Amino acid sequence: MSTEEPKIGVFICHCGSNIAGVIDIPQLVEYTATLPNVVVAEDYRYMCSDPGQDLIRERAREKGLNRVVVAACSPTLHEPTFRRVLESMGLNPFFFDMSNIREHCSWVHTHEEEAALEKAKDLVRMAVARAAELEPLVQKEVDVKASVLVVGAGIAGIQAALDIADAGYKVYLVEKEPSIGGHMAQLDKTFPTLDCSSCILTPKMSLIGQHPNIELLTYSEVREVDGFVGNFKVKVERKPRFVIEDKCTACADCLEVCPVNVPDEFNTGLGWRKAIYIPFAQAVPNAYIIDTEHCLGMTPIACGKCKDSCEAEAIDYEMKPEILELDIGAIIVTTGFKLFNAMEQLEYGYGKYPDVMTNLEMERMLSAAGPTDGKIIRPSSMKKPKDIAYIQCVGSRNERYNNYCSRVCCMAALKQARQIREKYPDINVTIFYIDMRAFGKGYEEFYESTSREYGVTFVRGRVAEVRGSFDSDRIVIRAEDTLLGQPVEAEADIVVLSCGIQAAENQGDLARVLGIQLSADGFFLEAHPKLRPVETNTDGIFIAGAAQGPKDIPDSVAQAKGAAASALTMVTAGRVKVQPYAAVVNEELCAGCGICEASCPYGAVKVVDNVAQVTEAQCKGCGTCAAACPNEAIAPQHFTMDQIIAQLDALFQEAR
Amino acid sequence: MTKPSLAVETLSICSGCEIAILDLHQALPGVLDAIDLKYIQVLMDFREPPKEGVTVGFVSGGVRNEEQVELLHKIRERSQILVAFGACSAFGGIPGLANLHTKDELLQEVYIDTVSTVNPKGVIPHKVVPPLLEEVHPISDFVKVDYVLPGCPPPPKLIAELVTCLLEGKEFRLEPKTVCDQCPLTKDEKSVTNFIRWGTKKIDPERCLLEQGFQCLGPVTQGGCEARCPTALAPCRGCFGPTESVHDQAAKMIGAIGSVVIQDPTKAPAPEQIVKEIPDLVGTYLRFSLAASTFKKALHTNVVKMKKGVKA
Ligand SMILES: Cc1cc2nc3c(=O)[nH]c(=O)nc-3n(C[C@H](O)[C@H](O)[C@H](O)COP(=O)(O)OP(=O)(O)OC[C@H]3O[C@@H](n4cnc5c(N)ncnc54)[C@H](O)[C@@H]3O)c2cc1C
Ligand code: SF4
Ligand code: SF4
Ligand code: SF4
Ligand code: SF4
Ligand code: SF4
Repeated sequence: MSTEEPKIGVFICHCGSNIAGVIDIPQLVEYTATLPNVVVAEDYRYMCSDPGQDLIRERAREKGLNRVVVAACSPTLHEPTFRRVLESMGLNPFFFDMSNIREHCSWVHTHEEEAALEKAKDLVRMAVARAAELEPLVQKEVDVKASVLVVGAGIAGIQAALDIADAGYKVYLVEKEPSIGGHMAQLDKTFPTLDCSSCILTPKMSLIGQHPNIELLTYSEVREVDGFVGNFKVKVERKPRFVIEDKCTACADCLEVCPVNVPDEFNTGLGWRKAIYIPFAQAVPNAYIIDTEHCLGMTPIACGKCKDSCEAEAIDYEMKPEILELDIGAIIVTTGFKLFNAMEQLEYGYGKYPDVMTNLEMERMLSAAGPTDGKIIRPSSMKKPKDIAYIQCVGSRNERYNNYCSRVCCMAALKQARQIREKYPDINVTIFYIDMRAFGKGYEEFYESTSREYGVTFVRGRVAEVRGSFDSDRIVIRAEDTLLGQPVEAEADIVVLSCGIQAAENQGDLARVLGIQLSADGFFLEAHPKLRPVETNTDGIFIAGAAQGPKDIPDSVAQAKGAAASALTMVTAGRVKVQPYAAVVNEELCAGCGICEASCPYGAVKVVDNVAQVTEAQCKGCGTCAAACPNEAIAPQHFTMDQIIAQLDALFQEAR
Repeated sequence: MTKPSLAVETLSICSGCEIAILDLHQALPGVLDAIDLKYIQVLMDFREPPKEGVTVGFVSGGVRNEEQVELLHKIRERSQILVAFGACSAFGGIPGLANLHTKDELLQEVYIDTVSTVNPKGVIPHKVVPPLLEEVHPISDFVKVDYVLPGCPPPPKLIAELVTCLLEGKEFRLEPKTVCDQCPLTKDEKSVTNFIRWGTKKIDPERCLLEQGFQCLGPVTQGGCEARCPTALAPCRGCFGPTESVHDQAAKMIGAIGSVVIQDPTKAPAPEQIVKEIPDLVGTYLRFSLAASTFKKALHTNVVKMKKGVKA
């Protein structure tokens, strides 16, 4: 404890009527003035405003304050603001505590004014008690490595990588599939402008392949991340493709000889590919890969035909997985999404009726480069359909699957319906929806014209069941038309399920490797939904695109650019401030049991030579270790045991 | 110069602690040369400590009945330095687990309900025998204690160290670290998916027992014993009691268990499952220190109610 007598100034904010509308401010001020060590107790309409900040400065000068408490909103919002005020008057910024009487009090007790006042008194009393125990702390700076790792190369990852590389910094772009492109590469046209997806994506993809600042690591995955902001040590595994990227000329000679046919993932299983293949014509890198799961065996005895056929001598059956160790300054995670598995929603008959397909399958069918050369046919009969029905919100807005709205499937359905009607004016398209969500710029107009000019029929109602017709090969849809208030039954030749967007496969594992968090819906959690949308709670790690939540291309690109800018701010500065919250270990007490290590969500503490050691820059000061350590041998510096005990003592002491 | 003298008072015990003194082996003659052993019931036929001239009093055993309270006060008054000797004296020890039941329940069980008891009149002895207290106490509940030497029983090496310190007028203090500090097993990654009882699975002789899913109380137990149990691949049962910062072994152990469970929510067992895997929570986590723990005894009314509920 510092020896100086604490002189605490408490400033109580009205937050307009947000706080003052519920809590009796004059009474709270009067009470606060009676608390120990308090020399100033005042209130103001908006403490965070310039005059509010000036008030703190003035009183501090007049009364020689050495500690400040602001009773206002959440510290996540304004703690930095007030710390700067302290700094500006030469006080250590950590001699500050914030009491949240808005979110924790006035907002949740709007109709209980008396109780709210009592609670506000408790909260302020606790903050004052802690303030007296605060210690001055010094912010440190660490160097930032001039390189960025981007994980996932869909449109979001591609855009982020290009922005950073163009700014002159090194980018490692890691993609788990053999080619970059993500879902956008599978789309035919894109709403709302109906540009051809590959026309706008392919140039960016090839830029990635050629950019001198980008090291592209496809068919690779991040295995380990150590270190902290500015100084991550990352291990990436390159899986063997058995084809040497630089040598393969994509001549396709090997295709002629490979005897194995496998359903083609890129075409959502609607077409075929060989065991040696290239995912799609514009793939980057433009090199083949051997799918070992289906390959007959890469030896002359089992097969070995492709190697014989390759004039470029690009095939290497002996290729081994390789681990690359990278030094990284900042990380951007853009691992995108996974389409909802339509099999799960049994009542829609996906997997049972060949003519029930997903929106992504329709996307491939619509593509001139797709398995049907852009022709719409019924998979069961290979004939042209007369009626196509769309079912919206499959796997979305449904308690049984995902509660959230997937945001893109309404627009995707409109887009496809319009494309179908453009190509085949004689095919009728009906969309069964709960409500159509056309929220983006130009989207409502797109919706309007689709229904008006393109003659698409809309039926409002959740579909209850999809089944085969008893007297034809068509499909029957039963729903309730909620506008007419009566059940409807319709027949169609193709049913398209507007499958929603889900967090990517193994997103949880990746979160653990990176030390970042997931929100309840399984997508990566941002540091603040409004003000820090592309940051995570781990410094130096950013998120963008559908990995953060369902998103269309414009939003994914916007976020990617935001994340790239945030990473660049850090990398160009070359140095970054680290909060001095890090936990400290009392070596007299630490037995090296490792309980803290197991509990730390950020991997910041490790037992070395039988004593726990904290990596300062990695520690968030969250205090989990302090709660876990059986011998109370570790505690974060800005939430010491003394401070917490002081708060608790103040809480349980009879309110005066 | 007269030799300093030692008196050992015996309360509610099994005598293991006294045997541990004899277990000093080759060091024993030296100790007996240096000190005057005035009173120790396992060797001498006295009923109470000598009236005067006791330098150091050891008390083994917790306090179970009224006579023991008296004896405890006597040795406190008659000794210059008082040592709580062994787990029972320091924390109530295993007999302290009786605090899960009321005195009346215990008497009923022992003198009436046990199958092997023949007591047709249902008499509960109350004459001649000293009356039981409501619960078992560590001696510090009644008297000031100068030193604590925990253990069930205390290891001879520490007994010798304590005696040497006392003879040389030095302070005796155990390092405030837990058992893990001296444990030779390798601590690697703690990501336990299920907890197992000792003896039900093959033990990896190199690796921390807790990491293998055994309930080792090392992390919450005062160290100093040289981790003798985990060294022999038996999980620590906690006989050295809590350290000053541990306060309550069970509370800290529950915290520790929460931390060693694997973090991946898709692989982690449900909390209910973990609770099932720890069959006797009080007996496991407070085996030696229930009488000195936060709750000290069961909230009897609830236990009684629960029991009645089960019978009804
Ligand atoms: C049927 C359908 C139609 C659509 N139509 C449109 C449209 O017309 N207009 C529009 O704006 N939007 C449309 N969308 C939405 C659009 O697809 C997404 O907005 C966009 O793909 C999101 O890009 P992304 O980069 O965030 O994710 P993705 O495209 O999913 O890319 C993620 C990339 O990360 C890789 N990856 C995943 N995990 C890892 C890992 N652990 N390590 C390394 N790499 C990993 C993946 O392989 C993939 O390459 C449509 C979506 C669907 C389903
Ligand atoms: S975008 Fe439309 S179809 Fe998709 S979940 Fe939201 S409301 Fe349903
Ligand atoms: S939990 Fe406590 S005693 Fe154990 S290693 Fe960590 S700091 Fe040390
Ligand atoms: S306070 Fe402890 S648990 Fe939290 S990040 Fe730091 S070391 Fe890890
Ligand atoms: S075996 Fe027990 S005493 Fe040894 S390190 Fe593990 S928990 Fe600690
Ligand atoms: S390891 Fe535990 S149970 Fe064994 S002697 Fe030491 S403290 Fe007692």
